[in-house]
This record gives sequence, structure tokens and C-alpha cells, in this order.
Amino acid sequence: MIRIENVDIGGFAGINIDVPAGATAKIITDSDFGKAVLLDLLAGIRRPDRGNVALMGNDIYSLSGADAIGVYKNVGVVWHGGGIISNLKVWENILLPAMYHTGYAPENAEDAVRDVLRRFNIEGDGLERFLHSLPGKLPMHERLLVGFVRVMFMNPDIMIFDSIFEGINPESADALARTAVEMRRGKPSMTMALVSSDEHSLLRIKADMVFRQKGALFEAGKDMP
Amino acid sequence: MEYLRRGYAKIHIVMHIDISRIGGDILKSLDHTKGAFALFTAASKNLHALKNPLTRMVFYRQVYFTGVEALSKIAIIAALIGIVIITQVTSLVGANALLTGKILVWTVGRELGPLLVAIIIIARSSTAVASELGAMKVNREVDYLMGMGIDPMQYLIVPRIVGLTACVFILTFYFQIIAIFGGLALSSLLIDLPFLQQLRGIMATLGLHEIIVSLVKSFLFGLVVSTVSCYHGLRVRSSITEIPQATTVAVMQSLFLVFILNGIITVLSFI
Repeated sequence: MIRIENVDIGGFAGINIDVPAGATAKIITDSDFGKAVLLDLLAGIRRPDRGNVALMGNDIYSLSGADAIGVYKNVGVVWHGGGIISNLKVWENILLPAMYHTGYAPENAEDAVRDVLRRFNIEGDGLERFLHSLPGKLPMHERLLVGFVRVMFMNPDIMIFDSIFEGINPESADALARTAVEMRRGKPSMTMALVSSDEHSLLRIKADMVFRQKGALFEAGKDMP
Repeated sequence: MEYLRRGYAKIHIVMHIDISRIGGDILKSLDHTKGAFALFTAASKNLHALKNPLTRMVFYRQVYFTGVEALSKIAIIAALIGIVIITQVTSLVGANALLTGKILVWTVGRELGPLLVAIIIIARSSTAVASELGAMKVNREVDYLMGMGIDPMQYLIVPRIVGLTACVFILTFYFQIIAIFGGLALSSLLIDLPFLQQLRGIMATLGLHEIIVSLVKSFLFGLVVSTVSCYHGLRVRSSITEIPQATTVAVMQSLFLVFILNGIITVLSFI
């Protein structure tokens, strides 16, 4: 469940967004700046001037630093650039939160990562090269893939996507959308929020509700057909 | 006359600016020291983070880059320092094994060992830690870690502080052994000073007090260097140009604090 109540932050005033547990929502902003502000707010990075932000019933900005970070064990954010840690190899990046929180054994974990990446047509020598490369020079769709697969391994209660289908080729976008929908089916209680400034880029996934920015506020509406 | 008056006025302005700048620098430096101390307090409350295998991995990496990779360089510097001290003492007082041993213990054991190792680590690793953390801040990687439910204090800071401190502590001991024994071995070959006789001189001088003071110094230097480097790395906000600035300040403040601590401990221990 995601609940933003009467929040004032960076150009927004009194915004209210309520996504019940198990729902898929699209949040459409007027600009990339607005999108970045909203994502930072949801990711616990930027404190609002006023109002509350609750994830799974936890008001994250009223919790202590360590408790707030603890909430994010069950929240997966797929950042547009992948949200990659540059001094870790691709497989370490993918497994970082899962291993950190659950103590996944690395030898089994690497095989699990290989299995998932094969779904995205990364196989053979290319797969090994990909897994053991540092992420600095990866193209956009591979960075996004790293971020996405990382969140898959977290199996979170809330998934937040940052412009997930923008800047990548249609085949990769289709594969990501298919996998996201499969994940959603595999865990019906999972709440999904797709945040973007381009509503058309999100047509690959059907949402239960859409929140569109109107000036300093968001208006709830229905998804595009 | 007018020219002189203008000259004085100019000097007055420059002096005024410099004095106010010095005052500002001191205040800023105190502020940084306070910030670094707060970081150290927070890190010391999170030492349990090292139980996590991934945090331990960061710790091992830090130990490898700071400790293992520095071994050869420190060995060369230590052996050369040992030889130089023995050569200088011999040229001053002649072939006096007892005095040579005493001076070697006093200089390498009490002062140069901890100090030089701290300086080497500041040059090699303090810069690396500050710039790496600074780059992580600029690239928002610290935010991404928090977004994954990983506390940067536990995952980034604790292993770096513990790793660097452990390295300074162990490398100081390593430096002292090589400086003393390397110096003795080479001087017994090059100068007419028997190895065993010099060793006896060293054993007669080396007491528990010297060893404890040296260990305390190296431990505190390690804590100071690691905490200050992490603090200045984390101070970087959003611009890449802040990284070299933070690195320079980290080096200067580490050096400054290490020399101050060295002076205080020496005065308290040996007067």
C-alpha cells in the first residue's frame, strides 16, 4: 500500500495519492523534474515540507533513520538508470539487497541470476561477460535490466518503476513488461507504481488506477485504453 | 607619500583578510572535527554490521587495498629508514651498539613508525576512500543503497573505518619490525656493528611502555584517518568538482590531527 497524504514538496502542494495493497497504479507527472521529486519522496530520500508518506502502513518520514531504511527491505525501486553501485560487478549488483537481507549463498545465487537473465535472451559467453563486468559502461537497457532483476530477487511488497520503458528498444521493453506482469501474478498482494512523465510509454502494462498531475496536484482517473 | 599610504592601506586590508580567513579556517576545521566525531560515534554504534557477510566483504576489500597492497612499499621505506638512522647515529657517536639500539627504538618505535605509516596510509588510502565515497554521493549510489533498505553507515562506513584502522595498527607493527631488523641486518653487513650486540642494545631499551604507546598511537591514528576520510567523502553533495576538494581537505585534516595527536601522546607518555 502506498499513501501520500497532503504532501507539499518541490512544486507540489497538498498532493494525495492512495494505492491500495495489490493494486497497480500509474503516476504521470508533467515533467521529469516532478517525476524525480515524486520518486525521491517515495524512495525516502527527500523529506516533504508537509504531509505524510506511508508505505505498507509505515509513515516513513516519521520513523528514525534506521527504521525507515528497514521499511525499504520490502520496497523495490527500479530506477531509470538502474540505480547501480559502480564498484560492484553486475552479479553483485543484482544480488546485493537479497544477499544483504537474507544471506543468500553466493554460489547458488549466481546460478539463480543466470536463469533469470536467460529470460531476457542473455546467454552463453555474453551472459558470463555481462555478469562479471563492472556496470560503468553498460548501455541503458542493460543497466535497467540489472535494476529490474535486482528488484525481482528482493520479491518486495511494493515495486516502484521509474520511466521503465523509456530509452530502451521495444523487445527489451516487452520482456520487462511481461516479467513485471508475471511477478505481479505470482504475488497478488504486491503493490505496483509506475512513475513517468510520458503516459504513452507505460501502455505495455494495464493499471487499476492512474494519477495525473494537474498543476500542483494529482487527479485520479482511469487508464488509457 | 601617497604611494606609501596606499601601500600601507593595501597591506592592512590583506592582513585583515588573512586574519579573518585564518579565523574562518579554524572554525571550519573545528566544525569538520565535530562532524567527523559524530560520524565516528554513529559508526561505533553500528559495529554489529560486520556480522553481515556482505559488509565483511567490503571490510576484506578495504584491508586488501589498504593493507596487503601497501606491504611491499612499507617494507622498502621501513628498511631504508632503519639503515639511515643507524648510519647517522654511527657517524655521530661511532660504533656504539647500545646507543644505536636505543636511538633506533626511540625514533622508530616511539615516533617514526606510527607517524610514517599514518602518512603513507593518508597518501594511499585516505584519498581513495574520500574520493570513492564522494563519487558514490555524486552518482546517488548512497541514495540507491538506502532505497534497497541498506544503511550506508553499516555497509559503507563501518567496514572502511574498521578496515583502515586495523591496517594502520598492523602495518605500524610491520614497519617497526622491518625498520629495526632490516636496519640491523644491513648495518651489520655495511658498518662494523655486530648484529647480536645491536640486538642486545635494542632489547635493553625496549620496554612494555614503548610498545603500548606505539600501539595506542597507531590505533588512534587509524581511527582518525579513516573517520576523517569517510566524513569528507560523505560531505560531497552533487557536483563532481567537490570530490577533489573533499579529498584535499581529508588529507590535510588527517595530517593535522595525526600530528596533534602524536604530540599530545608523546608529551603525556614520556614527560
